[in-house]
Amino acid sequence: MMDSITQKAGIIAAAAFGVVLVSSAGYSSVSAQGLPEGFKKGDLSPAPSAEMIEAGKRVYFTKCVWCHGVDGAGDGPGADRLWPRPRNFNQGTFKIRHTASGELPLFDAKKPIAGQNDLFETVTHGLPGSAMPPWEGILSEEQRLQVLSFVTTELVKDRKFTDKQSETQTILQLAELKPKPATDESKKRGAELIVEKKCVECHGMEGRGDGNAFNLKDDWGFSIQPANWHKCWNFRGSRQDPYNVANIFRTFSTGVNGTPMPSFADNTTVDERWDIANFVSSLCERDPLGNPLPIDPLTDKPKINFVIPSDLVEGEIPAEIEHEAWQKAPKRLVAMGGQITHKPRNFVNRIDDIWVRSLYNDKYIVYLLEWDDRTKSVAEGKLPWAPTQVNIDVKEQDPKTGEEGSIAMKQNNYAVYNDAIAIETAVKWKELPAPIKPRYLFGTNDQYPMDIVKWEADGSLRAFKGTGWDKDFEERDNYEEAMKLVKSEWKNGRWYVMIQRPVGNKKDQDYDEDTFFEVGQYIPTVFFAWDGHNGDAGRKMAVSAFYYTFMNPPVPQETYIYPVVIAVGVVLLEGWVLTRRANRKKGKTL
Amino acid sequence: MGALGKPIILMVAMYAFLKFGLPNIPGSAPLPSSLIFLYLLLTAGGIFMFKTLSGESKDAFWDPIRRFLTGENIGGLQALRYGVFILFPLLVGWQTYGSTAVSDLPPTESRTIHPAPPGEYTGLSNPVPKTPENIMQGKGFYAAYCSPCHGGNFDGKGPAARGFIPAPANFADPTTIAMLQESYLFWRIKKGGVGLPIEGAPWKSAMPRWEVELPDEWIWKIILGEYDGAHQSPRTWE
Ligand code: HEC
Ligand code: HEC
Ligand code: HEC
Repeated sequence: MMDSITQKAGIIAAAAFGVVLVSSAGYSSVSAQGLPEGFKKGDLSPAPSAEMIEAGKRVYFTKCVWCHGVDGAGDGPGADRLWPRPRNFNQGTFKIRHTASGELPLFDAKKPIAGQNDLFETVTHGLPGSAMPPWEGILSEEQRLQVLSFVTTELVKDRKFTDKQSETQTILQLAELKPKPATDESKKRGAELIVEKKCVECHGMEGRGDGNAFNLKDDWGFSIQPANWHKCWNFRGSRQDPYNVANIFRTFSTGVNGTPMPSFADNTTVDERWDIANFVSSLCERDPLGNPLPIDPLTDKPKINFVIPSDLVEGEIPAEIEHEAWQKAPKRLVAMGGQITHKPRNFVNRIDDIWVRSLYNDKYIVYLLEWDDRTKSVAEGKLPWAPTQVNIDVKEQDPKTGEEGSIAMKQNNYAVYNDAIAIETAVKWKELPAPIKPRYLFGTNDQYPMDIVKWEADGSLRAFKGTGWDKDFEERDNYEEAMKLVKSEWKNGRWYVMIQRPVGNKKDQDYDEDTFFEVGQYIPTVFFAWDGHNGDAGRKMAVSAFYYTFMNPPVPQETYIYPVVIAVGVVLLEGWVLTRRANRKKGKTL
Repeated sequence: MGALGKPIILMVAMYAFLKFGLPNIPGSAPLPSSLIFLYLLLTAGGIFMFKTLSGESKDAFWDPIRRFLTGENIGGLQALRYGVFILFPLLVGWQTYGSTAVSDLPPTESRTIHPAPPGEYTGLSNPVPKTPENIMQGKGFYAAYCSPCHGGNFDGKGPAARGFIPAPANFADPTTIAMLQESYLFWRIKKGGVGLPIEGAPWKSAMPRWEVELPDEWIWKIILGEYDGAHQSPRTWE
């Protein structure tokens, strides 16, 4: 088995090397008129010492081999479930660099200096948006240099970091280039440039990575998708500092080797590049005041607030997102994970977060759900199962060992089902005895069921009852007639879905089946999402943890009155104490 | 002001800890303002009781307060005195607002992290010998089945971990597998989140029930690999 893999790797390596050669040939025209703006020639670094390499080998075989494989071919036991797959080091193709397209990255085993040692920074900060973890705090600086000494000399097989004949270093002088302030003018020019330079052909009109989403492959033959600029925390080159424009500037100045993402060093000036970087960075999600979202150091992704507030509106709940009420409604980010708890498992969930807003009036509550999905997926023809069926036979992403069977190879090749989203709330959430709660996956049993409202891209909106993680859904009598799909639209890589349902009340509602949305209470709420082009259906989906819908009561008068009354009370008390004191003193001196 | 300095510092430190320190301790959430207020009241009560225990300490405690409030011989502190008179009511008002206004913090819920295992899973010993080969194999299985959640670093930070509460256990943390027996791990890995008893809040855990696809022998190997990779050793009863 080992043999066939090495052989295969050899063939792939040769192919990849060919691509590198061809692509660097394409760019060589520039050096004729000198280097691209902002770059300078540099020297190759000296080879690391034999001791460093030996020590690095030990680190590699305790920490890295599980993903990157015994031979560095990116085929460790953990590799087959990951997308992107762990890197095959053999070809010496590295994504995040300060060096020109096609060149090897900066690495010097004696210089752990930011901006001058690409591989060291990669191992320190990891590659966000992939499984490659940050190793700072786990490996010492020395160990990081050691392991890279091993990787660059022993596992990179087709190229040599010290070979003056075949390798050059043309280095982006990022530290010397002064960033341009992100003025409106600069961003406007950037917005024009991304069309002119054809970034939008891959990254999509709004930069959600939906341009040429399905035909791209990387040099190893695995499917790859253009980055979504609105989620800068998933940029491989973000160095755990996603809102820093310099990282974006570097990425498209050097290109991402091994992928279709080209270098734009030759056909843009440095000034234009800052405009583009400023614009791309401005697209990354921000809070309502325009500030970067706070990043959680545990996940390197935005921090999560588990309460989804719903504001009261008088009269009809508006159907237009532009309406003032929706613009003012607090927007919450719901983190989604792959459903890997039960089979069929979803190791690569392509919907990794959802933005949720909510409004309510005396009769209804409306959820506005927005999420990025590069493709609008609607199943062709009738699906072979009933809408209530959960236990269906969809292809699990259950890889057979080896590249061919891996998720990364099969990605983008699934049967297309419906995109879908569901809101699940606990029925009788208030009356549950203290430690008992229905499971977040489709409920516990008949006694503690879940109320599930599911929209699918074929336009259906259905209501189900969930009575256990492994049970098919049950229909809910006539509830569907009480709901309304206010809006569902897919535009430039994003779904906008507005779902209205009754808030209900205890009197005229079947309280055993439907959630009663009570004002001022924390109502346990879970979200599910399916990406039809990912082969998602049934239990193969993305899930959230428990969140809480909280319908904000109309602000009670007391909130404002009590503090004032109490403060005035304290002032009176102070006055009383002081005058008493003064009187007593007067009495004494008299 | 000597006798007052310490209590004031203590109160400020307590507030700073409750408000800013506590939320940063892993596993804890920010406290609602009403609770902070209550804790501060308790602290103040404690200090007060301690300080007024004996006659002298009582005078030493009250005297500076009295002098400060009445403005007797406090010289330059006069301005501060007026400041306190003005700020105190505002502070109390603000605190009241904070405790009546709606907060956007989720209600706190407790979970027994390590509930007692069923009888048949106590005291089992690992039938797989602890050889380098078995450890390597266990780590291989770990990388394939567990690392998406528990992380390639055994630190609970796998690429799929973000969606789940409770978060996948961090095995490098001394409060997880280091304080458990191998037998306990065997039970948790076999039965997963759905196998937790009711006090373990089974409705929230995303931990898979691995008995459906991993043979017992693999699970025992994974346990070896897990301890080795996380640099921990199992708890034993001597
Ligand atoms: C949990 C799996 C995992 C482990 C463990 C892991 N890596 Fe990675 N690594 C990845 C993945 C996945 C990629 C590819 C990401 C991509 O292509 O976008 C990667 C890419 C890389 C790259 C390429 C960087 C670039 O700019 O292209 C280097 C270098 C690297 N890893 C080094 C290491 C070292 C050194 C270790 C051990 C200390 C290690 N990795 C451990 C998953 C892992
Ligand atoms: C031929 C298609 C294509 C074009 C044209 C293109 N990109 Fe990309 N871009 C990609 C792909 C594919 C990736 C994902 C690379 C990966 O996942 O490693 C990417 C990734 C990126 C990233 C994220 C890099 C990271 O750190 O992970 C940025 C930023 C980016 N592109 C900006 C641009 C800009 C700006 C332009 C135009 C000036 C542009 N791209 C043009 C295909 C393209
Ligand atoms: C879907 C994500 C996921 C996967 C995959 C997963 N786990 Fe877990 N695991 C969790 C979560 C979440 C918890 C914490 C909640 C709990 O205790 O049930 C956990 C808890 C544990 C615990 C209990 C630790 C303690 O301190 O009580 C052990 C042991 C464990 N996992 C082992 C494994 C092993 C071994 C594998 C692979 C065979 C694995 N897990 C795969 C999510 C996962």
